[in-house]
Amino acid sequence: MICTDDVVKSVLALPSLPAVVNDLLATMEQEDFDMHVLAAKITLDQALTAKTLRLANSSFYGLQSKVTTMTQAVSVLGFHSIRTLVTACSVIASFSAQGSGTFDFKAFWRHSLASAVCARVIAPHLKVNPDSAFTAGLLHDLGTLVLATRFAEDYQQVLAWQHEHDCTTSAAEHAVFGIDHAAIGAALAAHWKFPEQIQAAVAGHHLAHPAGCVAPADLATAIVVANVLAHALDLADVDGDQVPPLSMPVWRTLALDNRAWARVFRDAEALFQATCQALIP
Amino acid sequence: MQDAIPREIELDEATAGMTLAAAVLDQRGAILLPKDAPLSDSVLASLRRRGLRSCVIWAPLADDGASAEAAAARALCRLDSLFRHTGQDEANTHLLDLLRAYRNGTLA
Repeated sequence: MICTDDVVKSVLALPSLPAVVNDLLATMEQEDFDMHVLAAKITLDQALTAKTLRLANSSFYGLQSKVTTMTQAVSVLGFHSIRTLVTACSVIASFSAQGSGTFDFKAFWRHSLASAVCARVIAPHLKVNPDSAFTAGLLHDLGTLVLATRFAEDYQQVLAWQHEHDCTTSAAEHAVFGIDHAAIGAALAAHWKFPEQIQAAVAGHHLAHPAGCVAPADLATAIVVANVLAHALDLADVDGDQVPPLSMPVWRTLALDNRAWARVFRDAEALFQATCQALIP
Repeated sequence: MQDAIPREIELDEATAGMTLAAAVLDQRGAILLPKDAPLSDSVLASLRRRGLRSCVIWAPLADDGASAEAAAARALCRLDSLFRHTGQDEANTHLLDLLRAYRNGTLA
């Protein structure tokens, strides 16, 4: 039986992300940074450059002429989108080599991307930066990757438990590992020195606020909502999926009228389709 | 195209006569075929040779009332399944009501 300590130790044994990713994430908390230096670093990585150009040329941006250089891509996409893309590619690459039984990686990334898109759409309603929200949404289930790739056999028990009890992933992980992906993700986010607001969002994406309190309008709340919306809009299209609980304090903080909700649903669905098209080959 | 929606399909499902709803790009991000380009047998063969696995085409909206009704019923059924464990939660109930209205096309 795996214990919590084993899981935490395995997180600390994970390799570091490429330096450029840490440089990029650090810019999230900086007012001034040299965009050109970072863009030049990205250009050194051919795979990242190709993905970036592919995104800039996607139909979502509706450009007439072709984007062929990183400088053009920066002006089309904005630096923040490129930062997100590089982070996503690097995180995906750091886990993709691991085989893992019946764990559905495609569904995992569809939900991560769906949460990122929902976070971007909901962010303005919580006065949160949409680009930071997208990145945090993309990374919020990072802990699941640790469990599913480093403890692949034990993770089969999680999937079996979840199937048998028709419960949330967190509940099944607690039953098998004694810890869930939010806590593991937070440990990894700290190990990788992600910005503190992302660490908090990863740690808190399943937290329920006590009934009487008011949820803060911050990145962590945006990710709680984004995760719920991604499930509720059925964007990842997973059999047996279920919507996690949403607390009234969060609902009250959002305080959206029907028209605003309709726009959130529509925008999230449209942006998800466009982003999948650009990012998933 | 107002009577159609973009839908991603496997390349094996694509047939001549369909129209692309999104440009097809190669691995370097260069446009192979622009949005709204028609698909022909020779174009499809060329895309298969390049190893493309899927594309986004314009799919016609359900044009008869019966199939639209069936699709709406399926969407509502799926919502009930997704929200099966949140029956007592007030905020989830609000969200479910909004999504039901959204799927029915009656949300503002």
